[in-house]
Amino acid sequence: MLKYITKRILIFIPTLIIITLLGFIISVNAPGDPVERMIVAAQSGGEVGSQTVNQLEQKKFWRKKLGLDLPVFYISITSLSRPDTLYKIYDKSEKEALDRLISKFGNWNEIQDYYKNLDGFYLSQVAFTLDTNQIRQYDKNAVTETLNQIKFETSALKSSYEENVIEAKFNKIKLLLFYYPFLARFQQPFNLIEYKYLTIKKTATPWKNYIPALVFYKKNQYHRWLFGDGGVFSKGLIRGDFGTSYVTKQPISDVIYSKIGWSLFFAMLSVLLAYIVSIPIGVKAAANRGSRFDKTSSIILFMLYSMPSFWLATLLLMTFANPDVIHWFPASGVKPAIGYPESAGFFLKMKTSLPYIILPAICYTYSSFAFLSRTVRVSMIETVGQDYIRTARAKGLTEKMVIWKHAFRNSLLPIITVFANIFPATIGGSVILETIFTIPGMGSEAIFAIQNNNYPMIIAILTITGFLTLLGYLISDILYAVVDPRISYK
Amino acid sequence: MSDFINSVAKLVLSIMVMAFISSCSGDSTPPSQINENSQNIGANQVKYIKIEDAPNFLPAWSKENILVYHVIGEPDDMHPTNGNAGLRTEIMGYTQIYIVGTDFQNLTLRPIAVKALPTVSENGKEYTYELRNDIKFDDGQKLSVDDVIFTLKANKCPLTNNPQAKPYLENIINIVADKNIPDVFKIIMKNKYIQNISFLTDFPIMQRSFFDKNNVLSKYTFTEFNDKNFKADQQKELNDWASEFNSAKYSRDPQFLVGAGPYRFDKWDVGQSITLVRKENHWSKGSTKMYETAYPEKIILKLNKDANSQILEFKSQTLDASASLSTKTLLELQKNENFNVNYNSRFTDTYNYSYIAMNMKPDGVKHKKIFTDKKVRRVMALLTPLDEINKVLNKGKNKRMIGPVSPLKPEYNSDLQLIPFDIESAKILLDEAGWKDTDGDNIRDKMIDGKKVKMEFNLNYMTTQVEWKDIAQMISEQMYKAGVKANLNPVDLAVLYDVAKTHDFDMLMAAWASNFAPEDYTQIWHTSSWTSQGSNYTGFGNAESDALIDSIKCTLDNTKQGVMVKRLQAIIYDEQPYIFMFASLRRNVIHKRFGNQEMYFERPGGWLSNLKLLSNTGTSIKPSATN
Repeated sequence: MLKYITKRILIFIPTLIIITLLGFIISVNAPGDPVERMIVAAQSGGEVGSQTVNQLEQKKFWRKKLGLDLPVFYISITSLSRPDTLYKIYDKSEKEALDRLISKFGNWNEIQDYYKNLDGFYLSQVAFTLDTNQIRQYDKNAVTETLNQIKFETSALKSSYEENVIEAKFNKIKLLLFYYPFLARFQQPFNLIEYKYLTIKKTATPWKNYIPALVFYKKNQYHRWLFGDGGVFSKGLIRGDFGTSYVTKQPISDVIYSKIGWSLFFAMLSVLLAYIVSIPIGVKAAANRGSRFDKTSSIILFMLYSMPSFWLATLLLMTFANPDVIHWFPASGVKPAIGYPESAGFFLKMKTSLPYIILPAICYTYSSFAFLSRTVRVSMIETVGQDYIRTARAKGLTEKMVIWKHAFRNSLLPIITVFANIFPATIGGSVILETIFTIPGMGSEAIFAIQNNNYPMIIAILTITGFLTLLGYLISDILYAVVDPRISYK
Repeated sequence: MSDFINSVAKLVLSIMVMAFISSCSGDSTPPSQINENSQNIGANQVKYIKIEDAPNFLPAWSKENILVYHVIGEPDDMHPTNGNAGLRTEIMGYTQIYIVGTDFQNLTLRPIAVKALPTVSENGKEYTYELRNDIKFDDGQKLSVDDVIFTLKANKCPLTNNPQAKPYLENIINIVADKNIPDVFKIIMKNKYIQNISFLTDFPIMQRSFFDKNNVLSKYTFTEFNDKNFKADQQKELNDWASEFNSAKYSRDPQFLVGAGPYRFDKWDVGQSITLVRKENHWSKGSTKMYETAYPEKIILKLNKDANSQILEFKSQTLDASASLSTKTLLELQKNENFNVNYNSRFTDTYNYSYIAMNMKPDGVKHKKIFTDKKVRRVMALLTPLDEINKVLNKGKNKRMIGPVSPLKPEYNSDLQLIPFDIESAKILLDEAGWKDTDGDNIRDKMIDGKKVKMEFNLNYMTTQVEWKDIAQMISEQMYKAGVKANLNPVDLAVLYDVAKTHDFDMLMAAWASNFAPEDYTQIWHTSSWTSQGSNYTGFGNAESDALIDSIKCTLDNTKQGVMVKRLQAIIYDEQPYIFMFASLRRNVIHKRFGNQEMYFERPGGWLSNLKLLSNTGTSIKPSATN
């Protein structure tokens, strides 16, 4: 058994690596820039403005802090045409444009040269001002408009890769330069850029795209996520540091710690209640197969099963937490707004929270009744048909002894399988119920993370869920062996 | 650089549920009364709504002096410098003090930690303040100039994790304590600028001896922090201070969330509530000044996101106040007799508005040159059924906007008229502009640059808001009647923001938030914000508008500034870069067991610490109105 457990735990490692990698692939390819998002709108809107030097410095700082200035993974299967430093360009659209140009022309040196000239061209336009004499010669509106147009076209060129788009923009700039002599100083640099672009086309080596290359990055985002950066900004996953939340800038582990308690509580409570209710129903229904009890319980349980949780939750609230109907329970939260009485112990806290817990607990649990009791029933029916049960009855044992001592234990396997799902359900929580009842759990945190592109949190949830699923199945496997001596893992 | 500092309008692309409704704007109109359609908000004579105290304290009302305030979200954090959420600022209004703050009643700035608003030098760059001498921190230490300097230095330090705040401090050159007069200090700014005082409303004063025990920041100057070549990360002592200062405990641990405000941050039950407790020996004790009173013993901010549950909580009186209910929820509650007996509720105006932006300068390749002609942009406004949207989706509660300036502001240009929904006029204008249906497919077209271009484009809006989808759908249907095809394109917030700043869109729907302070139009309307990935998404602007914007931001004379702002509004109106939709409304609710009720147009809409429990005994506090 020990050998089996060790083997299973060892299998966890590659599985978890694959899970985390999947998370990374999703986050890297997700739209939007997390740093832009952090600076723009942390939670409920924020400031947006021009790209100031200070802001760019701040973005640089946060990229470094979050490890976004690093390549994604240890290895990159690329082509001979691609440089190993493309990841350093942080503007996603510019990076994509360069990537597409490489895919088409395959000559990075020329492309890089073109890009650098373009960048310099843009910066020189930003720094450019007309002297007063020149301004007098032209219409003010025309000057403003022309300068804006040339800046915009140049800026847009940096993120353009389609040939017709690039050429259209070149033509536009050419026209501007032709019609507005005050832009004369830009003519030569522009000619150079055009020349550089022609050079890219002339010296294209698209065949290089077909020769694979393997690039190794010692420092990368994934490594940093796993092992940290020496404790400067991150300690790494293996030390329990999931990184920093893009929204609250808190350590992810702190966020999870603050939210997992109630999710865990409701998950465990609902499973416990589901087992307490469903097992006797399932066993009784199996023992009295076809009886009125069997049929009635099936109908009721399936009716419950078909009710959506948000509907039942609202119905319960509107009925039992409504001063206009019955006001037995509070409408939201897991404890009074003023908190627990001072120096309250565990039991007093539970007693205080009890009215808050009952309605959510019902909603968490009811849908499991049908599934679990049917599982128990089917399993029991199969077991009570076995020869050894007939033998037990022939020996003169009471029906109670036959069912609970001999049949039930051997019907436990499907129940154990269901038990394995509790663990991942804990972290997943229930978004709808948490929102309706204002329960501070992981479900709402997960949906909030998804809505806000808070990828470190999403990956953390994914990883923990994966780990708990694996753990759940391991425990199930061990329990199989415990309840059924025929199962051995030697 | 300072362009950014000048920015006033705040992007609220994500959660701004622009509940495009309104009711009372300080007048006597009953809250439930539906507005006349096609009416824009008039500049208000009244600057806030004052509600009379309840004549009777009903037996069913709680006598506990605890105010439970409903919220629908939590602050990102409560760090004195490193946070960005509106709720954080609201809470800090009670737990911290600022140099200056908002006078909600008069919609001006008011001195808080200083004796008066500053005297300004002739060049408009030096602002001299004198600190009050009665303000003390919790340990009894008196507030000093040292704390003010530390506060702004800590915010300015490159290692402080407050990227969102940095641009607002770019204009500061130095803060100098007066050597001769104690408590007097001068803030020296780089440029003359309309927000050189109001920017201070965002920075709570921190106690230097608490946040910088070793006085590390005193070794560094503003000049160093202004120098982009200054290598802050190579200064070990500064790094150590910043690591400590940025640590999570100053963001969430109540022991470290200290300030000189009348309330102490007592408890944060994540996902449930935040509790503020009144300081019993606060320096302001006994003060009768409105902003220094602290009547409730506790203010509890209670989270509840579910509309049904919110209704039940108000019905059972477990919540005392809210400014976060949805329009639908409040309208539902207002139908309940008991609710109206127990609560005062109003829809109050705000400075926020929703809009549809059109790309005036598309590249002509990826995005067609449809909105380059202002006639076409006007057509889009004529084809937008705003009154119908208002009626169908918002029960007619919304108030329409005509431009970027809130009608609540004196500089609002009331000469501009609302653009009506008029399909026939739109068709005529389209014909004049050369857009005709030449191939009989009911979509107009035109030859542009030698190519036939169809009048078909994408209308982007955020996926997360159902309201946006409904609005987009209604607009698209009407446009089609005039031969214009708007394809609905729901996108994620991140994508919407990306395409907006890179001008990679045809048309997009979003919202802006603003406030009472003098507005700098650079961020949204200056051409420099178009070329530098700023918030001028549309490409609006010319030399005249740029010159006006540049002048407005450094004109401190309100009258002169008003004339310029009105002219800018007229230009924007004429150019029609946006279809201005609705001004959003705040949904204010306060329990009648509290007196001193006032509802404000400025955020957060109410001043909780000034709400006074009307009875400690449960007996009638005033002769009944009926007796």
